[in-house]
Parts: sequence; structure tokens; C-alpha cells
Amino acid sequence: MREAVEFVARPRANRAVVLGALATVIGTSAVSALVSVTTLEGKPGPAALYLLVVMLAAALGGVWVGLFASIAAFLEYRYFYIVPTHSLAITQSNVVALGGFLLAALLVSYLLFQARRSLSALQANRQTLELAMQSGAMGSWEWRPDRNTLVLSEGAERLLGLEAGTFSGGADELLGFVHAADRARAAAALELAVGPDDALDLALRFVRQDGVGLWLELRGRAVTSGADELTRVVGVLVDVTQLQEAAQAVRLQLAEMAQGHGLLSAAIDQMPIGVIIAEAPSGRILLSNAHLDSLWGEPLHRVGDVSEYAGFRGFHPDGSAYQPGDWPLARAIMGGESTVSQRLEIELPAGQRTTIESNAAPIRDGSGQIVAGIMSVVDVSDRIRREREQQFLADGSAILSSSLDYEATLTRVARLAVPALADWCTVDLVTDGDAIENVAVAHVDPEKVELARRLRMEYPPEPDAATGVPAVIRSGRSALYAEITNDVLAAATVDERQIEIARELGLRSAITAPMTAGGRTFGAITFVNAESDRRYTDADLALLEEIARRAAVAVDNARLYKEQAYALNQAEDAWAQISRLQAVTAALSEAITSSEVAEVIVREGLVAFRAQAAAVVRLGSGGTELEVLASTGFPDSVRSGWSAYSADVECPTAEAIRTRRVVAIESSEQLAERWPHLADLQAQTGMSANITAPLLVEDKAVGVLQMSFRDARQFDDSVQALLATLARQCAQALERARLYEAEGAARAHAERLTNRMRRLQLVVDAALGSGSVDDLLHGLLERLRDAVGSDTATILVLDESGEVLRERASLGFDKLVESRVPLGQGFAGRIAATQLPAVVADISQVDVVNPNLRDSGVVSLAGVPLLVDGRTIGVLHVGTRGSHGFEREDLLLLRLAASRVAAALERAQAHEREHRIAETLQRSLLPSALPAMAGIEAAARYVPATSGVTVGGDWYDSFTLEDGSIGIAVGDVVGHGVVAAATMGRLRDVLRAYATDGLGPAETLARLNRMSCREGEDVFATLVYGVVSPSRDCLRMASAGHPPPLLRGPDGTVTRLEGGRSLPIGASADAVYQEAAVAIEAGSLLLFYTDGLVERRSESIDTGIDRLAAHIADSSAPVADVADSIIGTLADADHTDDVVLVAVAVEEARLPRFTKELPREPRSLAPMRAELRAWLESMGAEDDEIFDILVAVNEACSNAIEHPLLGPDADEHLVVLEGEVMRGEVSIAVRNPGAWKPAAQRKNRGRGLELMETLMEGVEVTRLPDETTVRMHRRLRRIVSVQ
Amino acid sequence: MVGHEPREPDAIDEDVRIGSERVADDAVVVTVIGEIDMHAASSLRAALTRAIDEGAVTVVVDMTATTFIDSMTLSILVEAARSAQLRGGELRIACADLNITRIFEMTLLDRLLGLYPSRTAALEMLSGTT
Repeated sequence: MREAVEFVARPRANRAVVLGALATVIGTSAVSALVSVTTLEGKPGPAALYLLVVMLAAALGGVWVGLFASIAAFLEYRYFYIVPTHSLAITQSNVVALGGFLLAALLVSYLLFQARRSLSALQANRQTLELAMQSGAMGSWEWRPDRNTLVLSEGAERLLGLEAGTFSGGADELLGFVHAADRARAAAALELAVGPDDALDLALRFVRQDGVGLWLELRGRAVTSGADELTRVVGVLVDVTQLQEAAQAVRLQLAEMAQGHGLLSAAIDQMPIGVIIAEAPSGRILLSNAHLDSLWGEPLHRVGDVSEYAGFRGFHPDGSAYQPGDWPLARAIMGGESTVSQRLEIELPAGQRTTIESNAAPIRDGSGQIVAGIMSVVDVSDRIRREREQQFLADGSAILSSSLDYEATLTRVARLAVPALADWCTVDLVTDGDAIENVAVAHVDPEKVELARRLRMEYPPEPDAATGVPAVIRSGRSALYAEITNDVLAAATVDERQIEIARELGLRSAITAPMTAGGRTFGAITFVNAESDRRYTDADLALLEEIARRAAVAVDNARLYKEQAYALNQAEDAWAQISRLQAVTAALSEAITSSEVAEVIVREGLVAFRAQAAAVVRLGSGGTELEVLASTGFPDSVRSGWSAYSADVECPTAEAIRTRRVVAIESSEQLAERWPHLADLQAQTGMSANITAPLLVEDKAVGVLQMSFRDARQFDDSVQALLATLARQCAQALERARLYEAEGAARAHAERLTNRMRRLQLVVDAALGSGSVDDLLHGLLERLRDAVGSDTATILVLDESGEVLRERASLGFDKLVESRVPLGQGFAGRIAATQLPAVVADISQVDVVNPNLRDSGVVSLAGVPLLVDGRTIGVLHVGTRGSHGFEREDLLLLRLAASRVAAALERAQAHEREHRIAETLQRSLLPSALPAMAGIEAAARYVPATSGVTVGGDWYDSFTLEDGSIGIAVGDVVGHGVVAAATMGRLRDVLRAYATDGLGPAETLARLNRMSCREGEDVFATLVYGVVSPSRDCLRMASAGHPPPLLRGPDGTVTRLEGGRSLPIGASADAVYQEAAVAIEAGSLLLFYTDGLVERRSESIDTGIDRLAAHIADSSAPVADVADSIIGTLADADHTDDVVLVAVAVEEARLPRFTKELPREPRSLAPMRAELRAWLESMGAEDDEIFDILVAVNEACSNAIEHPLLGPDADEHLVVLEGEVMRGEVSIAVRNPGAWKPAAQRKNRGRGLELMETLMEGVEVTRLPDETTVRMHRRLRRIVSVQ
Repeated sequence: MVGHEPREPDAIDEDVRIGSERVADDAVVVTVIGEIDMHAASSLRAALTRAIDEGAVTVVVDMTATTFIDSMTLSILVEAARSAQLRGGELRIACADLNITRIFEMTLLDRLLGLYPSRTAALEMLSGTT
């Protein structure tokens, strides 16, 4: 629009064109003339004159006249001036000459025509301008850029819709009236107008004050005054709105004009798009170009009506046919509709379709009337294909990058390609074994895919085939089979059948591109066209190559990733191992030593690295020696030879320590290269590779961790990292262990010091404790020896004569000879005599009486006298075999000990005397064995205290009363020693007296108490007295402050018998004693005991009772064994009190048994059955049960009798029957003693066993060499209880 | 045919007796009283063998007074039944004792031997078929 405006608005420029054109014509003509002249054999002639004539003719008469003149002039010229007519041949020069004339004529006539039209338009414009001026549509303006003031004339102000004289301001204010779209252009033009040579001349859209839009032409020119000094720009504003409208008309006129001259047609014809112009409103095709015809594949008929547009064979994208009215051209003509880029498909003569894009617009005349419609058409099938290809590439890439499962993605890519790009798409990959594997086949029809697969299986590709996929993979170059001919098929197939199948598939055209990544071709993608009848071209191949390249990269990436993932997995495995190690290391508590830490690291490291050998080496504290803390997997020779070595030895371990870096030896060769001197060692170990990491503690290498491998291998980063981590763990654990060990050593030293004092205290404690004197002295010596760190320790006691020292106790001698040391002689004798301590550094220097000292290699001695009230009672001395001697400190210790030992010895001797008496007394008072009691099995145990002299006080008694009851008493007299023993004896006697008088438990205790109190003696005792009824099913009991007896029922439950408790004997004369009755069942166990059994230091008596209860709960052993096992639990406990235990088992009553000895003869069976029947009846068996059992037993007996025995007196052997009923089950054993003859089984007896098994619930036959026993059992319906 | 005299059962013990009685030309009743065990087995076997050998087509073992049997008894009865069948005859057992019947049932011999609740029943069937 703008161009048109300017074209019309610039008459001067128009004129210049015309003049230019004329000049061109003249110039061209002159050249032509010259050409003509020179061409005509160089002869000068009136050629120029002729040319002038022609031009004049053309200029005056138009194209046709000019043409005629040209031809006439040419002929005349040739005939008259050059050569005779007969020689007028069609030569090149002639044609050129004629062409020159023709061209000139055409150009001249065209340009003149142009000029004429322009001039006439200009004429019109001038008229318009005049009209404009007449109507006052014009004004003037003056602009002073230096002051930026602009003055408008009244006319100009009127044009802008302003009242006269109201405009003020500069250029900007004027530009404010310019339409926004044109403002920038106007401003730029104004700028330029400042220049002296530039005139301002442009048409602009303005918006009047009242909002009405109009076209104004802005013209102006700079006016300078003085020397190049700009003062102002002056110009006019002209309303050219009507001119603009006129231009529209001119444009249409031009179009028509051009058409009229065929120029437009020619131009259109040359256009690279299809153009069709139709007349409105009929739709008659006025014009269509050659490209349009080529698009449709045939010349389109110049139809005369819109309805005939159906012949254009258009289709909507959905496939439905275009109705005539659907065509954009029709819509433009009839509805004035403009259509932009409408896509549709047209059908080509061969039936295929192609996609076109059409633009259509109506053509209107000056009045706006639609006079025609124009439609342009472009074949976009290529573009669509490109778009589709790009889409395919994009989608394919997206798929390829969507997953690492490349086989799956390749399959999806193959599916993506069909059917848009190919009827078939296959992807082949080279497998590890260099075979070519088809990983994807795609076709729209699944059946065909199956067929292809089968074909592929039947005819696997030959990797070295000359054509096809193998060739592409081998060469890495793609292949294009534009046309799959029979020859191509024959080259690619192995037999007729394969060709047949390939033909069936109808393969027409194929392309294969290699999948290459990282310089390696490992697959190929193939597109094949079959039924769609498309032919592949290089463009398709380029696309396929691109997708193949992308697929290759994706596959390569996926493979790499998988490898990495694999490596990662490996690493993760290793890390899992490390975690395990960490856990292990953590578990290595402070108590674990360095070598234990090393052992663990070596063991776990071996597993973590799958190594064959491993070692942890520590740098010695001096930093010069390496010590192998732990190793595994190395031969013994290496282990022993390399248990410790200098840190200066050139080897991987030393280097790892020196450099504090991981040292990796991946092969024997590598080792031999760096450390040739280690080759022998390497050979011995049998290892090829090893990796060594330093153990760093605070950046200092304290050792190394080394993993060795039998086979050469590479240590990648992950292995090194793993090892470093393990080494870190190891270093930490080792450091911890080292600290612990150091701390342990320090603590041990401190403990040794304090222990000396503590042990001394223990010496004292032991002396104050109780026990036999020998035990006491032995304990004293042990502690003393430990305290002073001697090898031997001896106590000598001055005997009653006061002249001789006798060895009373000693430690540390290999063998002992009875030694007697006279007072004043030898080492000990002198000490005893002088009462002074003595130290001898080397006994070889002095006389020693005791031969034990010399014999056992004692070198140094230290001794002190044992003094009581200033009187020597003995000597204490210690000796060492080494010559370290004794220090003053030791002697002090010894003296301290001696004073305590002396006191203890004195006291212990007194205690021992009493203990001996008391124990003798007590044992003599306690019953030596419990009497046999019907229905009761009892066991009693008395254990004196293991230490001290607390003998006495605990007692027990058991007796059968007149009515068959059984009395059991267990008591504890408070107090110890002889007095307690005597009291106990008296209590026992009195209790038994009352009990045998027939008094019950409570009454017995009451009387005992009264008696004890009345006597006014210092008697205080606990005791429990129980009476088991004659029927053994009831226990009556009374307790005088005694721990509760325990009752274990037959089911194992244990109850404390807490009933019948009262005050201890002697506590109060008024005490009332109660009695409790407890039902007891057969199979129960009663346990009476004294508190020594259940009392332990730092433990409540309840805990002890519970422990005792638990101990007997599960025991089903005989009562004596139970008693022993209970006493056994005391063995490891230091019980300081006597223990008395009475265990009473109430026997399980049994039903009468059946026994019968049967002579070996059939006659004896009937009496046996009669007896058995009677017994079974007494057991409550019913008639049918009895019959069954009789039959079964009879069979067993018959069998026994019938069976011949070996030996002369075989018949003497009796068959033995034993029967019993337990808990309602009858069991009968038939024993047949004697060795059987190996006789054949008699036929009838087979049924015998069968009968037995049928009639009884269980039959068991035991065959021994000299006895065969048949045992059978069966439950009875009725359970008979014992009465 | 040798005549078969009816006779008192043989006394094996005080309480066990076995006797046979020809009740028809081709039918013999063997009466078993008391407990039959190993001791009495040979008598029973002999009685049955004789009855069959003497041509009895039907041998009725009257066990209504039998109080005990053992596996050997069963074997003898089975043997006799087979032997009778071989000669076209049959062995019938009259037995009322539930315990003994149960033994027959347990050993499945009740299916092999014809069991009748009484001597009369066993013989009635006989007369019914003759």
C-alpha cells in the first residue's frame, strides 16, 4: 500500500523512470546496431538508419508496428545491402540480428506504453492536486530546528483540524498528529531534511484533532542563509487522501492492463507457485499458470463455472472430498473471503495424493466490487514430509532418551517409523558373539511382523554377506536400494524359497543406515517400503542415517550406562561390605587388641575385595621396622620370613607408608619393573597383583593394608576408594586399640601398686574370716606372695617345745621335704631367735637349714618373725628365684602381714580346735542314715560350712511313728560351735520324745518352746516339724520361724508350704504354735532345709528359695540324686553356714501287677488265660476288652511256646508274662528267653501278629540273641485308681 | 459211603470238646465247645478233615458254645473251607458269640466263611437248598 502511494505520489520519480527507460532503449539499440554492423562482415552501412526507422515505427505505432517495421527493415537491409537474396540463409548472425531488432522493438513499445500510462495517471494526479488546492486542502509550514519552533499556516492548521493560530510548539508537536505507525518514519525524514541537499517529501497518515484520519503529504526543503548555516526548513502539507484512493484504482487498472498485454500472464507463469485467477461472480478461470498444472500432474481445464471446481479433486484432511464451494477460490469470488495457508490434499492422475497449501483473496475494483478472485497454491508435501521427518527425529530422540532399555526404545522407534516413513522398519544389533541380532521389527500388521521374524529365524543374516545389513554394519556405510529388483533379491537371499517369501512381502525399496557411535558400528536400521510403493531417495537415506546415528548414540550411552551401573553396583557391593566392616570395626570395642583388629580387617577385607591374600602391617614405634599384625593367604614361608622387616626395604608396603598413597601393582610384570628384587618373593606368594593402602592416623602413616590377588587385575578408582575407606576404618580401629593397650598398660601398673595394699587388706580379711587353719594359712600365703611378688612363701611355727620351727604352710616349692629348723640356726632360726627381720640377697652366701629353699632354686629371701605379745610363735618368709632381691618396701609389707598372720594364726588355731569338736559332736548327733519308711523315699544331707568355724546348730531328724506316720524335723539352733551343737542335740531328743508320744506338730513345738523358755537357757532356734500321714496323702506341719518347706507336686509345680508358721523356739514363752495340713499326691517331693541352703550374700532369701524351687521343678530323678544335685549347686558358692537338707519323695502307688511264668507247652495256655482274665477284670477291663487282650496275649504266648529253642535244656525256659496298668493303659510283655533256632516261620503265625496288631493299640517285638520280647499295650475304657 | 456215627464230642480237656454228627447224607455238624487254642487245634483240624474226607458236602461248624479261638483256629477253618469248596461243598459256621464274631470280622474271614447265628439257622438254610 505504501509503495503504491509513493509510486503515485512521485511524478518526478516516474518521469525519471521513463527517461531512464528511453535511455536504456537507445543504448541497447545502439549496441544492437553495432553488433549488427560488426556482424555484417565489418561493412559500414545504413544499419543505424534502419534501426532508427524501426524505433520510430515502434514508438509511434506500438509493438505490432514496431515488429513489422523490424522484420521489413531486416529483410530490406539483408537483400539490398549485403548479399543476394538466394544467399539469405538462417545463420546464427542473422538470427542474432533479427533478435536484436525484435527485442528493441518490444522494449521500446513496452516502455513507451508504460510511460504513457504513467503520464496519464500523472495527469489525473495533477487534476486532483489542483482540486485539492482549490478546496484549500493544503497549508504551509516553517520549522526552525535550532530553536525547534514550528509555525503552521492557517491552511495547515485547518488540515489538522485546529482553529487558526492555535498550533504552537516544535516538530514533536507536529509529529504528535502523525499516525503512530508513521511517526518514526516522519521523524527520520525531518532529521534528514535538515541536510542541505535533501528535500522532504513523503505521504503520511495523520490523525486530525477531531480524530478523523487522513493522508497528508509532507514536503519541505531546508533554506539556508549565510554560509552553510541552517536557519529553517520550509514546506507544505497537502491532503492526499483522495490521491490514495485513486491509487487503489490505478493498481487495479494496472492489473487489468498487464493482463491485457499478457505481461501479467507471463509473469505469473514464471512464478514458482501455482496461481489461478477466476472471474467473479461466475468463477470462470481467467488464468492459471504452468506450475499449477504441474502440481495437479496434468493441465487443469479452464472451467467456466464454480460448480465445475469439483474437477479439481480436492480432499479435506479428514479424507472427505471438497465440494466446489469449499474451494478457497470459490469462497473468495463469492463471499469475498480471504484464505491463508489452507491445507488440503489433491488427487494426482495416478491416484496418489499430495498435500497443497492454498491462499486465496478476492480482487475488487475501485468501487469495492469483487471482480475476480486469485488463488495461489504451493505443494507442501515436501514440507510435510520434512516436518514429519523432523517430528520423527524429535520423537525418536525423545524415545531413545526415555529409557536405558535400548532394545525396548529401538522397538518403539521402529514402530514410530511405520507407516509414515516406511512400511517396514527393522533394527539389528551386533551381539557379543559378533552375530547379528534382530532387536526390532515393525510393521502395521502384526502378522507380517511374525512372518518377518520367522523368516529371520530361518535365514539368519550372514555376517559376511555382500549386501544388506551385514554389509552396512561391516562397512559402516549406509545402503540405498531404490528399487529392489530380482537381482537385488537374488544377491541377498540364499535360496528360492527365501526369494519367494521376500517377493510375497512385496519389498520394493529399502535403505539401511549403520548405527555408529564412538567409531564403532554395532548395528543398523533398515526402512523398507513394500505395499505403499514409495521409492527411497537420498533424502530418505539422510534421515535414516540421522536417526541411526542418534539411536547409536543412545544405545552406546545405554550400554555405557549399564557398564557404569554395573560398576556402580560392584562398588555398592563393596560399600555394603564396608558397612559390614564398619559394623565389625565398631564392634571391636576397647577390649580388642591391635592384632585382633588386624585379624578382623584381614578376614573381612579378603571377602570384600575377593582377594586371595591380605595383610595388615604396622609401623613399629621406632618408625624403622614394619611388623605384620595379621595376614592371610600367604604361604608359611613368606609369613615367617616377613613377619617383621625394615621400613627401608624397597617394597610396596614401605612405599605406601613413605608416600602415604595407595600403591597398586596390577601385574607381576609391573612389579618386576619397579622392584626387580621382589620377583622371588612374588613367585613365592603366588600373587600377581596387589594394592596397598597406607593406614593414616592424623595424616601419619602408621601402617598399611594390603590386598593381594592371584591374577593380574586392574584397580580402578572404585577399588582404590574402597581400599582407602577400609584402610581408614582399620587405622581408626588400630589407633583405638593402641590407645586402649597403652591405657591398659598404665592402668595395670597403677593397679599393681594399689593391689599391693588391697592384698594386704585381703590378708587381714582372710585372717579375720573363718575356716580351717590350713586353708586360712594357704590363702594368706597366696595373697602375700602376690602382694610382694615373690615366688615362694613359707610359714614356720615354733612347736610346743619352743625349740624347733616346723613348716606349717608353704607355697611355690616343687616338692616338699619335712623341714625342721632349730631355733637360732639357719635363716629362719636366726629370725625366730633374734625376732628381727632379715633379708638375704643370695642364699648361697649364708647357711640355710631348709633344704626346700636350695632345691627349688630360691636365690633371695626375706623373712620376719611372727610375734604374739612379744613372744615368737613362728617365722614368715618369702623367696624369689630371680636375683631381683627385696626392697625395703617389701620388708615393711612383710612385717605388716606377719603381725596379722600371727594374730590370725593364734586365733585360727583356737577356732580349729573348737570346730573339730563341734563337727564331731554334730555329726554324732545327726542320724547316720534315715530309717526305711514305707511309701516314702527320703534322703538327708548335712554340709558343714566351707569356711570359718561356724559348725553347729543345723540339724534334722526323721522317724516312723507308731501309727505308720512319718515325722520329719529340720532345725537351726542360733549360735555356733560346741554349745549350739549341744543345744541342737537336746532339742532333737526332746522333739523326738514328744513326737513319739503321739503329739501333733503344733503341740510338739509348743511344748518344746515351753521347755526351752522354762529352762531359762539361752536357746533360740528355728525348726519345722512335719508328719506325713500313714496313707501318705497328707502332711501336717508346724513351723517355728523356719524357712518354708517346698512341695513339688507330681505335675512339677512347686509350692512353698507357708502354713503353720509361728515364732522361733525360745523367742517367747507365750508363743502359740499353729498347724497346717497339706494334701500331698503320690509322686510329690517334699523338701525341708535350713537357711544355709537358700541364703547367699547380697541376695534375699526369697531369691534363694525361688532358685531352689526352680531347681527341683523339672527334676524327676530319684530323691537321693535330687538331694545331691541340690547340694551340688552349693559347690561354687561360698556358703558360710551349715546346710541341712531333707528330701522326701512320696512314692507313686502302683496297681497290682500281673506276672506269670508259662511252661513251654500248649496245655499251659488255658490256665494262663484264666489268670489273666481275672487280673484284667480286677483292673476294670470290660468283657470285650478282656477277650481282645486274651486273644492277643494268647497269640504271643503260642508263638513263644511253638518257637523251637536252641540248647539242651531249651524246654526248661519258661515264657514270662508281665502285665501292669498305668494311668488306664494296660501293657503286657511276653518274654521268651532262650536262643531261637533259626527255624522257618510257621505259616499260621503270620496271622497271629496281624491279630495282635489289630486287637492291641501297640505291639512291639524286640529280638535279642537270647531273648525275644513282645510288648503290647491298649488303653482301657475305665481308669481304676489305686485303693 | 462209610457211615458216620453220631457221637459225643471228644473231650480234650474238661472244658473243651469237639464232636461231629452227620445230620444228613451229605451234611456233617462239627460241634466245638469251649476254648479252642493251640492245644485243641489238632482235634479240630482232624474232625473237619474227617468230615470232608467222608464226603460231607456241607460241613457246619457249630461254634455256638465256643468261648475262645486263636489264629490257628482261623487257619484251620479257612483250610477246611477251601478243601470243602474244592470238593464242591461248603463250610458253614454257626456262631453267636459277639467276641468271636468280631474276630472273624476283624480278619475279614466273615466274607470267606458262611456265618450263621445258630446251628439251626445254618441247617435250615441247608434243608432249604436241598
